[in-house]
Amino acid sequence: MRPKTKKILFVFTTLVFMFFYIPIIILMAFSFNDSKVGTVWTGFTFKWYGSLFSNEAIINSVTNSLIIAVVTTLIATVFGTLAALAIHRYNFPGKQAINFLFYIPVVIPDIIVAVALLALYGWLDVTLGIATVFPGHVAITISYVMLVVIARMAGLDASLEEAAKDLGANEWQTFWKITFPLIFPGVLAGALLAFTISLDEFVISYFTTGPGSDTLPVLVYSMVRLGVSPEINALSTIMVLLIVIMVFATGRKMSVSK
Amino acid sequence: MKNLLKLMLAVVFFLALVACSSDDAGTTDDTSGSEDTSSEDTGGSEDAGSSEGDTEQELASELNLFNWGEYMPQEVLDNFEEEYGVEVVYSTYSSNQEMLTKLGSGTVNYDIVVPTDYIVGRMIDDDMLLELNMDNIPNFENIQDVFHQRDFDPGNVFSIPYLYGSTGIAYNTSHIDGTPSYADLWNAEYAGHVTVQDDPRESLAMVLQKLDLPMNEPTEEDLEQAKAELAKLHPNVLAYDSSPSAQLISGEAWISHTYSGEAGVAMQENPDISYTLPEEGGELWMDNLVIPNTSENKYTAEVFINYLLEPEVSKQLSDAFPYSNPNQGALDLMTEEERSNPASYPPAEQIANASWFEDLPPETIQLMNRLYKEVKVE
Amino acid sequence: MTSEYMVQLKNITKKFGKDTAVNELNLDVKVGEFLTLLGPSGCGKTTTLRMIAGFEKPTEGEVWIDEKQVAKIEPYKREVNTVFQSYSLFPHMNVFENIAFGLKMKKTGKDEVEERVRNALKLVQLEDYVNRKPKQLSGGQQQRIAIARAIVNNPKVLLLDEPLGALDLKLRKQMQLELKHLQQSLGITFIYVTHDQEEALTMSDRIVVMNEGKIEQVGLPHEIYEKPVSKFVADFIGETNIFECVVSEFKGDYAYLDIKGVTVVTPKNDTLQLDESVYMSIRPEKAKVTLTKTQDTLLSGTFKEKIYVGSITKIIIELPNGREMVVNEVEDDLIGIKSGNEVYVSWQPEDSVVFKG
Repeated sequence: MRPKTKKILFVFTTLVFMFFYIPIIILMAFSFNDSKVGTVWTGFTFKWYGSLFSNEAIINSVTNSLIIAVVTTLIATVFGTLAALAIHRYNFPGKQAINFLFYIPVVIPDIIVAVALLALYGWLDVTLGIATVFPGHVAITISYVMLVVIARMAGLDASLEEAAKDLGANEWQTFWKITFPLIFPGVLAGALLAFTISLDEFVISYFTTGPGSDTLPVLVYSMVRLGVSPEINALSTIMVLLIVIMVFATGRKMSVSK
Repeated sequence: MKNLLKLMLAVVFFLALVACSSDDAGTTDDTSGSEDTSSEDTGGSEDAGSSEGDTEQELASELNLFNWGEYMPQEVLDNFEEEYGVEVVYSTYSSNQEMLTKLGSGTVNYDIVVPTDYIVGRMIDDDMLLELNMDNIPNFENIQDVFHQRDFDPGNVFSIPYLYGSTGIAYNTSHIDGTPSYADLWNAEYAGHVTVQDDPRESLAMVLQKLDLPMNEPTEEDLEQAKAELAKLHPNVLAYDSSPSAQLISGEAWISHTYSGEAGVAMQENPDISYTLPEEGGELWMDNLVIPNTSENKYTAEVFINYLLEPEVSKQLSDAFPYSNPNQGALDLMTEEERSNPASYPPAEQIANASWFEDLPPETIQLMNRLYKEVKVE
Repeated sequence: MTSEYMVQLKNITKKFGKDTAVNELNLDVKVGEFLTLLGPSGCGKTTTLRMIAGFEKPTEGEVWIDEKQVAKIEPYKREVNTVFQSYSLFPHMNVFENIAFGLKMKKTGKDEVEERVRNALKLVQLEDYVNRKPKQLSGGQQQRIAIARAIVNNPKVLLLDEPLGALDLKLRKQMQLELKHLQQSLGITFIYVTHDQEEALTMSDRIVVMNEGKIEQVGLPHEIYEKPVSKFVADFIGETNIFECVVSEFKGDYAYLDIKGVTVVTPKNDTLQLDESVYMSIRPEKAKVTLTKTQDTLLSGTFKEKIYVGSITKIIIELPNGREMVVNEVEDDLIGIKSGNEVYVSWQPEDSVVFKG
């Protein structure tokens, strides 16, 4: 590479990274700002972290978000993986249609899913609560899990499963000893994706949360009337750190297993 | 084939999930149904209402409260739970529309919601509210007389004032002499130091007031005129921003058309900032406690409303958030300094001079949105 | 009471949709035999193998393994093991775990697993590689592990689906011999699928030549090579000259064949009839080219070119009827010959083979 090209590329990359990370870094910095007004620095403090943990509304919504994300991830991962297996491995009438139906939630705007669910709940006389958030979250995340797992399976040599059966493994043993370990990175990636999508999801949650089941994004949005409070900055800082740790841990694990 | 079966299982599971939650809904809905009829009775005849009220004098274990974000301090909820043994399930919304959508879908059973005043009128028209039994809310007398018997609910049958605020002018006294009016936003001396609310309704209402045109029932010509006037203001504007407190504190903005709450925040950080309702009037809004007909715990809701109206409790509300308190009892507990803060408590004559936001027909709102956008684009 | 046959295919047909991959095939495989299914790609040989393994179910007909009809027996319960074309080693397991997989599925005791895996590795000469992952092995090593993984289970039949296809020529030759020796020392029945006729000839006890889902010929390697029963077999196995001809005359023990104006002679045979159209095949190495006419001369032609390929020289001759013929000479006597010179071709009539279609 020519030195000039190299230099331009370096500057460009730096700019892109700055564009990604400067807002996050600023947000983290302001979580230590003494002033309640976001953009004026008046001094260093930990008080927002203290008040964060005594703010029941925020803690409740974080708990709700985590419960919803974990349950959604479990359901979406199990069923997304099973669906991926079915689509990948078997031929059955209507396979194309079913495959297509699974992808629709990826392209349909969330708002339509949300409004449709709200209408459905209204029609079924369902009371909104935590349980009514899952179906929407599962519906959108299951497709992502499927996409990721199917991509992984496409790279999988079908004769490996035949080899296992040939060596005396039944369907169940073949799945757990061969298929699952080989698609596991895909399943894990799908699960992480589902978890982050669910944790982050706003539109569907906005329409389907009921009394006491606000998720974090919904709560944060309702707080904008007064400007986002520094407690949210503090919470964001904690979450960013947790996610960074999580990403590093899984990244390491994946590279080790390779 | 085997996996087709699994797929079907997935679908069944999904439905079961829905059915599950619909089960508890089924039972609760039954009670709310009977509740509905009883409340209609209350509305129909006073006698039936009071007898119904007597049998209902028992606190529920839970109360579902649906309120704006950051609008009620946790200690207020905790104290109520401690005192009355009722658990308050607190959820928040970010706009009147969100609250209306959820209530309208029939999927939520909130006991108390807090709509802005012109929304209360709409909800009354749509039969979405239960009549209040004022016997259970004796503290209503603490509310200042000015805030009794509003146009949308004459006689306070459905709503109780919660907190209010205004839109007026925040200004930096080191740059601006005297008390500014809306007309001063157009003053060329302040070019580059003016901010205007970034909201079609708010900003056009301000211009209409400046032009002495009716802000709650403008004609199309009025609005076109307002648009032209707003366009003239454009060169002066530093930013269209509904939360200009940071610019006020830093001294960048000298004169801002903004919420009293925003001004209050800025005043705490920068002593040079002051707030006034302009001589043209300024705009007022009030949020109100109401009980939607989805409520299953009307009595408990009334007890809670009454609790909120206690002077000490009410004061906690306005201490925690920069809005104005309509509760005289709470005002009496405040220091003279708090009471005379112009952002929170403008003089009575200014309040009387200001206008309340009223409901507008959708066409007018659309027209305002379009005109406002045109000004910003130009 | 054990039978003579280890695997029997009884009238099996396999259809994929409208395509018939295997068509009414009958085959008996003897105990301890090295049998090769040979044919071009798409001839149904791999499908046949997969039906024995149980990965495909015959549309019609029966598969018998060791005196038992196996239609209802799942692949994992059949006492056969397969060596796959792509090796199909489990990438997430090391060599030991790969080889031990089948034994563990059968709940074999730990000590026995250790011992049998070690023995299997010894057989394929890879004792030192127990802890390697498949990715860390060369192609030839992976192939050996795949074989070890199959034979460690002491299968009654070992199925091999073009196992050497991915190896380079030299390694392939070496592995062919190793496999043959392994089969002989273990005494296991091998059913081997390949499209490489040389490989088939080298290793097999018997060869089954398949074409378009049917068996063309079953026989010992030299039978297949020297007495092909059809044009397809003659053409597919090795190099040969095939002539379309008409039976023109019977004289003594010989039949005279007319190849469009050129007459050749071949041993008489009961099925031949006068004026019948048949094919005659003569292998290049069985014919001889001379510059002068001899008493054995059957044909004359024009010399076209010489191609030196090391061990032999190929001589291309154009016959008077325009056809070309190839003759292999071990020693090149035709020094100084030029294109266009007249030459004479001779062979022993007994070396020619005649078949109908």
